[in-house]
Amino acid sequence: MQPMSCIKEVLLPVDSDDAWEAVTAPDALEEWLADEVELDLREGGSATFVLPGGEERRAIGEAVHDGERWTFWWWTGDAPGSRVTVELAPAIGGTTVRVTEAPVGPWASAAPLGEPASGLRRVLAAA
Amino acid sequence: MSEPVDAVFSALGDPTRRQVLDEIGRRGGATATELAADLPITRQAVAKHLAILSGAGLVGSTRHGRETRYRVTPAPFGEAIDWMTRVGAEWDERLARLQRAAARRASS
Repeated sequence: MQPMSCIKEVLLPVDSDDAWEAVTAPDALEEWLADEVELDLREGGSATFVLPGGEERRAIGEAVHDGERWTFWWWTGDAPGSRVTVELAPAIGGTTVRVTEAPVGPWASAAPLGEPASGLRRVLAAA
Repeated sequence: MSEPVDAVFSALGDPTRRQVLDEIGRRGGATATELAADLPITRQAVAKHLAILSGAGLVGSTRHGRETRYRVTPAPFGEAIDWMTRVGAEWDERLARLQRAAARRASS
């Protein structure tokens, strides 16, 4: 059973190494995701994104599978946040980037998020 | 984003629960007994699903004597749809910028 989430995908005309850099390197992220990026890319690593318009989002990394997939949780202020997964897959013409964002909140532990919720508990316990 | 949005998504993530909600909507209101009669699930399972749907604000209930009738309350759908629309638009913009940035790097 999967909770609903927003899923978007795009094809990049580059190989998977370049695509991975585009979705994980702070200077590359500043070209499309946020105006300012500070990022410690690892499980339990923290990040700050200043979005266009000035909104500041904090984030914490849940998991990093080098070259393939990166999952983090982000939120603004005290608001309940979202879990975001960025995944790469080889495709004809380049590499596809699929982003999945799902809202979370007090229901996360009751809802059948399964691995993600337990992953966050593990990360928070280690932080 | 308000707290109930993720509850709505969680509630609607179960296909049987969606069936229960559809049936209430189709009937214009229903009791747990009526739902269990129409759907291939036990009354106990119906009650569990109704509790989750109610908790997410997707159904409201009124007591008539010993019966409780459930009806669909659409407001949380709006919040969930608003969230999906807003977040979807944000990612559309971001991924378009990502694609342009990658194309620039590919051609340089």
